[in-house]
Amino acid sequence: MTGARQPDGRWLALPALLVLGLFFTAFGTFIALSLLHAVPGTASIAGPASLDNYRAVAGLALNREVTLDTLWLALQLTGICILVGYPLAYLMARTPSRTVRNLILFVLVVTFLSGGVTRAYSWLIILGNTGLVNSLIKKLGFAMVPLVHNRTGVVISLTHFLLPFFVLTLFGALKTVPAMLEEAARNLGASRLRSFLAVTLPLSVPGLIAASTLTYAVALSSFLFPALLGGGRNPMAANLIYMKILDAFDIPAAAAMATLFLVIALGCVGLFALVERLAQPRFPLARRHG
Amino acid sequence: MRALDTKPYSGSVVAVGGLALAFLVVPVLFIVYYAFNASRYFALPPVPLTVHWFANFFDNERFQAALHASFEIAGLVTPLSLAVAVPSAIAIVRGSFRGRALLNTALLSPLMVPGVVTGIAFLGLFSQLNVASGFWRVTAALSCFTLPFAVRALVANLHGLDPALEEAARNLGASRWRAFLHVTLPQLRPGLLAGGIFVFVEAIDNFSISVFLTDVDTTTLPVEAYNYIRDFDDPTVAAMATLLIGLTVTLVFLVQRVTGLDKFLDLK
Amino acid sequence: MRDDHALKDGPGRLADTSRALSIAGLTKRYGSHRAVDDVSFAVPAGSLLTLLGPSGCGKTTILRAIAGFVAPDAGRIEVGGVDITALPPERRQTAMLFQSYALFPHMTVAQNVAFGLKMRRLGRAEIAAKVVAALALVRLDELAGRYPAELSGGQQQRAALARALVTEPQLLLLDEPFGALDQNLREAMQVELRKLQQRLGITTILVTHDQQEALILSDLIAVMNAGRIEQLAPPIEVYDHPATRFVAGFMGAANLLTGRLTGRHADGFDVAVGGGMLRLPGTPPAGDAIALAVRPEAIGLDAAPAETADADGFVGRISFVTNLGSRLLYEIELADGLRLAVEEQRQDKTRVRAVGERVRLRLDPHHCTVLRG
Repeated sequence: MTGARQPDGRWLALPALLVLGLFFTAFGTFIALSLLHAVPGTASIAGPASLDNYRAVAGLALNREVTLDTLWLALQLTGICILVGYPLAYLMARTPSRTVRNLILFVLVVTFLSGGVTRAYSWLIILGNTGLVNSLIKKLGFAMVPLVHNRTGVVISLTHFLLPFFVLTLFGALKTVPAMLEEAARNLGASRLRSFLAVTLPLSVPGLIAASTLTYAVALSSFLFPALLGGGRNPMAANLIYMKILDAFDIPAAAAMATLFLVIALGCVGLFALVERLAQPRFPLARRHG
Repeated sequence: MRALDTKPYSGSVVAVGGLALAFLVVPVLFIVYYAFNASRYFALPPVPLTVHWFANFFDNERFQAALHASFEIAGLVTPLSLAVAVPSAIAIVRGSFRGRALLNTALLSPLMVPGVVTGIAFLGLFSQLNVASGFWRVTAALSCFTLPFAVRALVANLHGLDPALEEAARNLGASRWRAFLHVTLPQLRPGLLAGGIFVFVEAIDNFSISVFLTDVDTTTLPVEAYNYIRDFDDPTVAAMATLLIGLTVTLVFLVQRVTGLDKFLDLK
Repeated sequence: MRDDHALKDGPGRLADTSRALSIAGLTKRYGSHRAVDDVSFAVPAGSLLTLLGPSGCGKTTILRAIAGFVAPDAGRIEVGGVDITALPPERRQTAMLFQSYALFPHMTVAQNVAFGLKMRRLGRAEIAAKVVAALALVRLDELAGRYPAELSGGQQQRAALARALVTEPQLLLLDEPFGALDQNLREAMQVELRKLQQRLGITTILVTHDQQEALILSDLIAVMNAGRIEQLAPPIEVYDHPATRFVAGFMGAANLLTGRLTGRHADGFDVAVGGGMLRLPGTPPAGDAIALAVRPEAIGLDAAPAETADADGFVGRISFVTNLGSRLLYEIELADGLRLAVEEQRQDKTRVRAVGERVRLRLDPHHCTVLRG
């Protein structure tokens, strides 16, 4: 039956396009709003369009400090996740026991799905001044260590939040590095450590970058954990934006802040992607045989 | 004879990994324990157990309203998300129009944007459109936001399917639609399950978007819990958390039975 | 009493350094399954031993135990007279060529080959010289700067071989090295490898399920089944005189016959089989039922005139003909229902027989192997 045209499936994409349309309209409105002004005393927003909001937002030293601090903290958290999460991902990928691997997967998934507020609250109780850790410390005769309402609490709880993202992504990549290559290295005289450094690590770099990128992106947008565990004194960028709305109900200003932050966030994530692109030729994952 | 250790990782790796695992588990276990804690604050040595806080949770009007709202919203968002995700995934994997890759990337973009930004964007949109109902605002925004989860799971699932099966069905006389219904769809169970669970859990648990879009009449469970923590700080929230964790564990067990965790997380 | 499966010149003494490799009582269990069941053998220096068997027979487990990736539950492994059972893989001098070559994709061919030497902390100049020599040995000189992904299958294999050989190991271990190659390339590589191995005089253990490969390459073949060695002998012996039913079947399309012991004599015994009678040399095994193996090419065919009664023995009809060009394969059905495969070399004058023709088989007793297992 010549001439029968195969449908190319474009109509199937329609629902998605509608949803995306809604999403991008929201953002379009958002950017439009950021160019306008909130009329003080009312809930309405009026023109003329200008970059005033942006100037005001960028001009405030607090905003700049918090933004830089957020970028830096996210980087630190990513570093911690690499140090703590790589061994776990490696263990999962190389353990000969299916039970162990499934157990770790189970823990990761349950942690991942068990809710932000849930875990934030749990950390609040564990790390609190009268919480689990401090009760144990006091029992041992030491002085109380303040672990909440400060940066420490935020770091611990955020690490806990980010770890599953990191480990699951890295695990997926590590699985594609054949264990046989490590065996070949050991067969040729490399100790376990050298085999890891010379073979596994270089080949896991793309996966490591992917996991780090994801972790960094999620860390950047942290909101809940700094809110609950930071005690108001350690706002991250997202908290600052929230406070703008809460205090002044100034949506246009908040929109400007958020847009600026979005641009910076995407820029940073883009940097990671660039690093990955540069690293690609040096660390090919190709296992193809000729 | 057992002197030779053949594992590729040394004992120290096991130690660090074990510690990391313990670190992950502790808060989850702890909060379940704390939910049964008889005293209002944490104390050592452990006090007797009680279900008082669970009763408290179910008695609390605001929590109950939030519970209902959250489940209603999730109950709407999940099928909606999946219904949009299925044709989208098919379009991406099996379609042949130009711009498929672009569609795939575009569909993943909501995840790249910080939740806060998405929340404000929708707040702005809805206030311009004069949509005042918190319920519908949250539902709409979450449907957009959770779509990438569903699409990702279904695309991964579809990639692993053999198109020859549908071709065989059509060869035997099935129309395109019937081939989809009887051959493709049953094979999409892992993706639907994985996508559905991620969407459902995210819809119930989402905070950063919901906090902007809820109103006086509608709060969601996370938002309500957040306020409660700031105001009261007693184990009632722990009780709520325990219930949610119980739900999550049940769902994950379900997934393990049906497809296994590997497929669920799209790890081959 | 259990057979030691050692060489004909006596059981290998474990401290004997002329044995490049000695395995004693090697056992490995996975749960209740015995992958390797009390295996012992010894390999003389400079020879190539093939562990041959179907998948799951334990051959790969033994190889990996020698390399140090599998910890045996019992048994001892000695290389050059030294007990290495407790040594980690990196301290053994047992270079392995993996089934998928396991070339490091992020290193060039030269870097791959240099890896083992780097681990031994040799000087840069020395490493460079040895790498060049090794690559010349496998004729890969021009490709030193390429990455594995840019090489063909055969080239990758040679690179992996160079990488293994450059470290001058005591043992070379080959894990089904030709499996990924095309048929034509495979035979060429097999011959090349064998020549190289003989030239270097390096003791080699090869694992394969391909009996033809084993026949081409080996000084000794150990046929394995379900964790045990069923026969350890030079190739020609395994082929001509398989020790057990399994070995006979595995080594190729042998005809397996069961006959009845009908008489004993001073220098032999009589077996009734296939409607006829064979007088076989030697002593009969215990029992009435005698299992025999005969190779298809060891049976002769004569036309059977119509008067020949079926009861005269070894008379049958051709039931299927396969013309392989240089060889003819006939399937013969004997009067008692027994089916035999017969192979004839096709020379100029050989007539291709037709299905249905009556033929008489000529079985030479000396070409029949009595199976004792």
